[in-house]
Amino acid sequence: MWIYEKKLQYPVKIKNPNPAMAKVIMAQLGGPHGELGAATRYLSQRISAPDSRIKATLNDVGTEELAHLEMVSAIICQLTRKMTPEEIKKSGFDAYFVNHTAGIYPADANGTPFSAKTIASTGDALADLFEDLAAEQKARLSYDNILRLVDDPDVRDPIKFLREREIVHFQRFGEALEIAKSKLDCKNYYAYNPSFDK
Amino acid sequence: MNGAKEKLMREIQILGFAIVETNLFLNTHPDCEKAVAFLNDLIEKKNEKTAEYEAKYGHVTAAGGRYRQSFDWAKSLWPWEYGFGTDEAEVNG
Repeated sequence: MWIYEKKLQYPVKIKNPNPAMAKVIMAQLGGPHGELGAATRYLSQRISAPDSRIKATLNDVGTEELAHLEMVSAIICQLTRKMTPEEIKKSGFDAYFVNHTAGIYPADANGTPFSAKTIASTGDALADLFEDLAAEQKARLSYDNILRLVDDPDVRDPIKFLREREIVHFQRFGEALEIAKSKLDCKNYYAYNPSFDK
Repeated sequence: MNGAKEKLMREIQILGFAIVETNLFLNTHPDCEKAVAFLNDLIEKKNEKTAEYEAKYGHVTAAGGRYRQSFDWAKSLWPWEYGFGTDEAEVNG
């Protein structure tokens, strides 16, 4: 179970709305490398993880991703506050607005709804952890691309925080993978037969 | 403006972040005594700051401290509410 803390993990205080920026940042809400996918991926995978240290890592990183989903939601919420019809049309936010107004809906930057097809949970610790390492790099590169497109320091600051977290999570999943590998037969160097599912 | 409230919430956020970071490190290094001592110190500091915040300004978790008369949890602003014309200093950051 979870207990909610009524705060953001890192402050989001955006002075100037900008729906065009919000549209780009939607990628990290419900996109293929986004925070909803990350939370769903790790919180699902933890159930079958073979070692309590790996379970702990998936549990706590998955939980942190929910806090990141909240931060991305806060960024989009503040970038789309008090929009005029002219701003909505000019910014390209109109296609989202027509269905969702300024509500938060987990879709990617193109408006494609979130899909569990963007994640994997295989029941195999090695397959899952390699997926997780790749997922953290993909989330990192999405934040790098957002930083190439967004110039408002109020937006860049929390985005930089989120980018940095992907790097830390990659490190922790790398350690979790080492733990998984250390439990294999020493002759099984290339980890082709993990036997965790027996 | 309520600068003191914002400052205290920022201190809680900083301690909370340090706790998450140490927690994640310890998940893969559970026998690191130095990190355990570091975490214990952070938990104590965060509990103190949170108790101070809840006594002065309202609940951080729904079942945090004792409630006075009304259920402030459902009356205070939510953390994503910034710049909507409500008292911006009320926002927890």
